[in-house]
Amino acid sequence: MAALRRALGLEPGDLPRMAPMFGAYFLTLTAIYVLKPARNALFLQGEGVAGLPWVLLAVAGAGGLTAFAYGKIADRLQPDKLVPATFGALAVLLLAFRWVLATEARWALYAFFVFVQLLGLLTTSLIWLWANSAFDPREARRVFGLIGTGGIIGSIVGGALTGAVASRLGTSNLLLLAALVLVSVVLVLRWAPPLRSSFESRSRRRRAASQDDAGADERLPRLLALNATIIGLVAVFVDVQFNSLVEKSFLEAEQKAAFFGLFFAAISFSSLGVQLILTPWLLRRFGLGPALAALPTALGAGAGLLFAGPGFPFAAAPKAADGGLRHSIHKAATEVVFLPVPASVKQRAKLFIDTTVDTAATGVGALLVLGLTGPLGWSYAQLSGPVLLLAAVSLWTVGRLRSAYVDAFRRALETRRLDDTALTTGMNEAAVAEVLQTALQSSQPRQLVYLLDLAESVGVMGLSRELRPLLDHPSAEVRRRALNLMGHQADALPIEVLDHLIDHDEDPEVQGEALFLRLRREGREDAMVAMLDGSGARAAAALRVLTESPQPDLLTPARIERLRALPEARATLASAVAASGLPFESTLRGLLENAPFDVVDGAIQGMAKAQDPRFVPWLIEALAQRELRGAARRTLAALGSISVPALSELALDAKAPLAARRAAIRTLADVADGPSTEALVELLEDDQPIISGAALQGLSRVQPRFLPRRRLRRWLRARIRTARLIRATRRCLGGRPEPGPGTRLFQRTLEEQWERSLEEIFSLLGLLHGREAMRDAYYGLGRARAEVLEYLDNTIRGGLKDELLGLFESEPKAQTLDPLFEAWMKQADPWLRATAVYARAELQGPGALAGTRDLHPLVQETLQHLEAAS
Amino acid sequence: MRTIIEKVILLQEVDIFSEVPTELLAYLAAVAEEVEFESGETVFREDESAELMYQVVSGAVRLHRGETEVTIARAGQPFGTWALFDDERRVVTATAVEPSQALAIAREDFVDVLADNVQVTQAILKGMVRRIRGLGRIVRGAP
Repeated sequence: MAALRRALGLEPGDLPRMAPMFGAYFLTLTAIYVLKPARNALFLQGEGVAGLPWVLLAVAGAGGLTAFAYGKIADRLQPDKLVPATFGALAVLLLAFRWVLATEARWALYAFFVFVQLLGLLTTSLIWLWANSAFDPREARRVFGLIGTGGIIGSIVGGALTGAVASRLGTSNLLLLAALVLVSVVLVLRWAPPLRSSFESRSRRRRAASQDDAGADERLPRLLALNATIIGLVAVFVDVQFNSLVEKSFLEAEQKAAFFGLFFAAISFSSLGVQLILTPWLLRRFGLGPALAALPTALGAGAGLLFAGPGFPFAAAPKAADGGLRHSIHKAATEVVFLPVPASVKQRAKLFIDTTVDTAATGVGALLVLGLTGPLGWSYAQLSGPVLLLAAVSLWTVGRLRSAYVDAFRRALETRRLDDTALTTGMNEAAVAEVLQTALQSSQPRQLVYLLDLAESVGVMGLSRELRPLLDHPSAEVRRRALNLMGHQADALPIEVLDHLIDHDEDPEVQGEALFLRLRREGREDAMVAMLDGSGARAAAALRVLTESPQPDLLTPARIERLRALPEARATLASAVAASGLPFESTLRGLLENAPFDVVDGAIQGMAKAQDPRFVPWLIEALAQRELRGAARRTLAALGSISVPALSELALDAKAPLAARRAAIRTLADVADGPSTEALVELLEDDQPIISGAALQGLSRVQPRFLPRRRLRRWLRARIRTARLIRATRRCLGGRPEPGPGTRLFQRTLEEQWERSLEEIFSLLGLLHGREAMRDAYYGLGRARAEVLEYLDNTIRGGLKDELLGLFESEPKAQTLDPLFEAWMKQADPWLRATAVYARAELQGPGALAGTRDLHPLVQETLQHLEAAS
Repeated sequence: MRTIIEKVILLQEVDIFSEVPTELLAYLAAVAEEVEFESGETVFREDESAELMYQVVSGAVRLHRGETEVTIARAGQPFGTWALFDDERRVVTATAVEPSQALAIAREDFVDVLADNVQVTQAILKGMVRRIRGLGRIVRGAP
């Protein structure tokens, strides 16, 4: 059994789930191919070939009506109820037709022809609907080709069975045989795999349907319908060309019948070969695009051959392509395309495409052939022109389909994320303004402060009438914030109001704010000098203005010396001096020596204004000091490219404090230019995972044009290799009874490393293939693993794809401990090496470490301890 | 003298460190010091200022208020953990009831590690939340 499974390219557990679907599809096609010869024989016997175009048009009309009525019924039932009920009803109708046909009424022949045509469409569509609802996208890739094979074998068996028993049973009695086979499908489906959760509850399905309908992009079902229409039209053209050439090539009826028999047998067998070998291989190896493109490409090539040499062997080429590929590879690939379509949309769309679109295309195709070959006088060979054109349109549709398929997965993953985290305040300017207008009357200071903060953060303007009374509020905090908010609006504050606050407000901070606004509105130098030489609060306000609009000549050494003595002004003095770009050594360094935190912080903020490279070394030193780190980082980021060389040097210095290196990395990411990106990429290979992780996080903020894609791919491959090593080691250690504390620590470390590796792999994939989509894919791994893998399969190309999917889908090979531990000793992370050494000594004895050398202090310490202990 | 790895093996048993990745636990292990107590020796007294948390490596330490025993911390169990988080004085006295070894982490060193490693802080907050929830369940009498 295992050998059969491997030969079929299946995973463990696939075979028992696939077998009932294989059986059901086999029996369905057996029934159809028992009925089709019976239908043709009865119709030709009664109405002749002349009736065929009209009955095809009737099929198109009836197909539309049936699809509408059936769609209404299908919408109320889940597939596991809908399918048995439909098959049962069709079996009963067959019994009824057996009785009606015995009356030899003319209308009964037309009705039966249409009925068999619709039965064929409906039953195959339902079986695929079930399969589509029961298998996830990864399983579908493996089993859909095989289920399709069941159908092809069924068509061969059905045809052969009819040939063998028709003369003995009588044509009409073939209906009873077909009804029996349809009932057996219902029995086989009892063992079919259960439907996936999206089909569990009707009410849930209805709720989902309304959500799906509201949010779903209909692009995928529309493109599928377009492609089905094109293929349906081409099929009619090709069929007519083929029949006309057979008619010319074979004079006798027996010759024609013999040729048809041989040709369809050959086509069925070739279709079987395609289905068994080509379809699974093409789907697994190259994905959907090539599989969907196979039929239009072959049809186009066949039409080209017919043009080049309109003799008989060439004429068979398009028909052979259609017969060999349409119900094998094309059907299986089309079913895979349906997988990401939301469940409710899928059910309706599938039935519509499989019934209405197909029959409508047949009807339109028949009308077009009548029009082109009749009034326009085209020869049948000339129909190759439209076939070529339609094949080209189909190839274009295939390209769109593939991108829509990938988009549908991306959107499905994104929606899941948004469903989990959708949080919105619904806050906007109008809402805040409305609340403020009533709430500003509140006497509660905390409430008012909160509202004023909110108004500032949302950027509310035009509330000067409501804010004006707050300048007399008893709370200084309220007055200051109201003043600040009004300061953003040029006309809201008359100069007299500011002067009043400067002279009469009791709170120095309110005074300072009013001064600041006053000086910003009227930048008079004499006023500025008066303020600078005034009290501490006034000087501080003037210095704030000087920080924003530096005037170095006003900051004379004598004035600086005087201001240093004013505690309220020291921080803003440092900020103004730094922003003015005065010589660091002669002015700022003196100010910063033994200065309190707020002074140094003020100076660092002022440096951001100066854009002076001479500040960079001092700021780099400040990164090592915990309390200054945040301000220094922001200022270095504001200095931009001029700080990058020093930042890169610090970040790459393995001996520098870890926290300072991380701060440097964050700052490099803030600058995000070419040289800072180069430094970040280099840091990806740092021995310290904290550093390489920070670099990776930083790269997510860099513009894609700066990213070295080849190096990122190489690094991604290395991370995938590490992740595979983790899986193999976990498997090897997993079955050991009662592991010791060192082994347990190593196992826990491997778990943590696995999580980190996945995070890094998807971060790197995000840099290469879109951050949002890969983040959604990463978060979807737990709940929608198959969808994520299918998305990756269609997004990533080449060997990288195989390596990545292999990480998730292939079981690691069983290995002994020695090569695994040897591999761990080659890893860059010293913590992993140290825990591996400790676990190895525990599992294999200290002797296993003989010859192990490692220069890292942590690993050396462990090795020496183990050696001493032994 | 224990290695960093051995200290990590011990520290990962402390409930508030349970969410800290082992690699980052090594930073705490680096500042954890080994201390030894004779039988009957007092580790700390009630109302003393609290600066250190302990993890018993071997032996046993009795935690008591006067003669009332609160609990006995044995190998693998921590005590005095709250000393890492606030300035409150000790609420119990700790006395070794047999020759004991422990790992001790000073609050100042602990804060230094947290300040430089935000991931450690996040993981310890998770561990703290777990402990508080556990206490909440005990108060409510839930399982």
